[in-house]
Amino acid sequence: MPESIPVSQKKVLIIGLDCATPQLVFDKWAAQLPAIASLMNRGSYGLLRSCVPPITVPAWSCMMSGKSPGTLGCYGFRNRCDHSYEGMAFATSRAIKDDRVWDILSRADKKVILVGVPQTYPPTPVNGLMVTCFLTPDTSCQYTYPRELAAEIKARVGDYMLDVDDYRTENKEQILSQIYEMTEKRFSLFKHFLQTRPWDFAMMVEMGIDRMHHGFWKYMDPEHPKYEAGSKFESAIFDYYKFVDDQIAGLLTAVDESTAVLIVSDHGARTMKGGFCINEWLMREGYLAIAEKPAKPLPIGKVKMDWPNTMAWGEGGYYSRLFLNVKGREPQGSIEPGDYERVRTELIEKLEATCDENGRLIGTRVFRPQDIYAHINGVPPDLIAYFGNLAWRSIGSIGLGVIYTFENDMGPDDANHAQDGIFIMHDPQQQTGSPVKRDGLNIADIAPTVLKLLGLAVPADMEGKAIQ
Amino acid sequence: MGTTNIGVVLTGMAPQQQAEVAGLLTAELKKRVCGAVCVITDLSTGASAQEILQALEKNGVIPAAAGDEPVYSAAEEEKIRKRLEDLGYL
Repeated sequence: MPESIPVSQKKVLIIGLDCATPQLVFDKWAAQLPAIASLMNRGSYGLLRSCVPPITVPAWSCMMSGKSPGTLGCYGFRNRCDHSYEGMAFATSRAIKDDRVWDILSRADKKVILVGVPQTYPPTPVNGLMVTCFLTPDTSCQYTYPRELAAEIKARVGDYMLDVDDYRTENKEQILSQIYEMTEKRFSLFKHFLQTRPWDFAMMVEMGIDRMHHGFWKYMDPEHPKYEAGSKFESAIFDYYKFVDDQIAGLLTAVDESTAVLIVSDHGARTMKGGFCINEWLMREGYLAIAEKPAKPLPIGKVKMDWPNTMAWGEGGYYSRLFLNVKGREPQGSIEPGDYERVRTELIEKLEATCDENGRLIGTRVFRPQDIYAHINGVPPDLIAYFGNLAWRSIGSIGLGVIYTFENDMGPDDANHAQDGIFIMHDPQQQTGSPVKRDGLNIADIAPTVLKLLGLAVPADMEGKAIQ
Repeated sequence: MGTTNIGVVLTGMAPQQQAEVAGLLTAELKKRVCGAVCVITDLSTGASAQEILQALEKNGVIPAAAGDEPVYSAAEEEKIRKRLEDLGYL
């Protein structure tokens, strides 16, 4: 056990791996990822239950605020601004009105380093530095705080990569090359900051694992409907995890015994069986009507809708958000307010009874926001649906003429998100000797855990609990 | 910007006006700076909260407020929409 470090000198490092999934990290490859395994073996680990929905936005903000999507009023990458049919806004940093950990730490005079944490664009002032996320249009925008940091980044790593370009391509070599370059630059930059800046709390989020899962899962997983045995990309995901592990090993050389290290992910991953065309299904069931059939599949926003005869519509994505068309709430509402709960319940029952193309129940789960969030702010969806418990993505386009599809409407995609991410913590001040597996961890627990490690009080309105 | 400790002294105001300006200033400064904000109301200047904030901005003490202007231009918004669609999020 190292000498006890006063809490005032303690540091916390978070390595965020978007979409890092427990069945690969903890089960399949644990022995082959030595840096990650060394932290697990000397600390604790477990499944980290994500929020509903388990999507990058809002999940990382839930993690770092200790609050649910309902409290944050942020239910996905785009949220309704009002009850109009068109009013959707991207969930940038300005959508988050609650404190995230770095806001609290900055006010407490703790120094912070933030690189790539989702929902940090546009950058906000912190007591330290911030490099924003892939919601930044490009690096010609102000993507750092302070602004002048951008010149140092350019000098250090050249053109900083916020994300990969042209992701929906069959040119897998090109995607691989971009993902590796992006990851190498982000880790290198983060390590540079760790070594050249004073800090109490440092956090980076690497998006590469998520991009690898969506782009290469079918080559790895024999359970995937399009599995290609013997593909040259069969080990692409494993090779990349090894690469990330090497990068983590490099980072760990920059921290000392005063630093608690956490590796976390915002959700996991699972094979994607196909797409469920939510608006086609709603049409078939009589809940959605269009004024004019499109000549080719179009996003619902581009379709001429028959709103007075529409009761519900849905959004596409890894899950679906459904909205009801309520009289007096939506501009051309069709559901009497008194019928709202009846229609909502009817939709839940019908959706949860949906079967696949062979007539087998797929295990769809549908949530009412009021049942899963303690508070509801902003304009929530009326329902949140996981088709096949996230084995199927939601296809929002209209004009496909089918309920099930085996191609994403935006191009190839091999994996969907899963509810559980990973949690690994090694605190040199709390050596365990052997790995401790923890149960019941929630994504909202991370923010209070960070505050507790740094000796700060946990605000009473945080919904998570500090992991002891 | 590191931690910023700001003290603002309000003078020459009626007590009610002083309290109102102090409240506005405190709320606005807390949004924009990392650090302690201290608005002292028992002394005395006559400037409005807006004038004081503008002076602090002009002198680089606090960053400019995030205004109501949209985060993205139309072209940027289209770029983000396309990126998120390509990535499967939408």
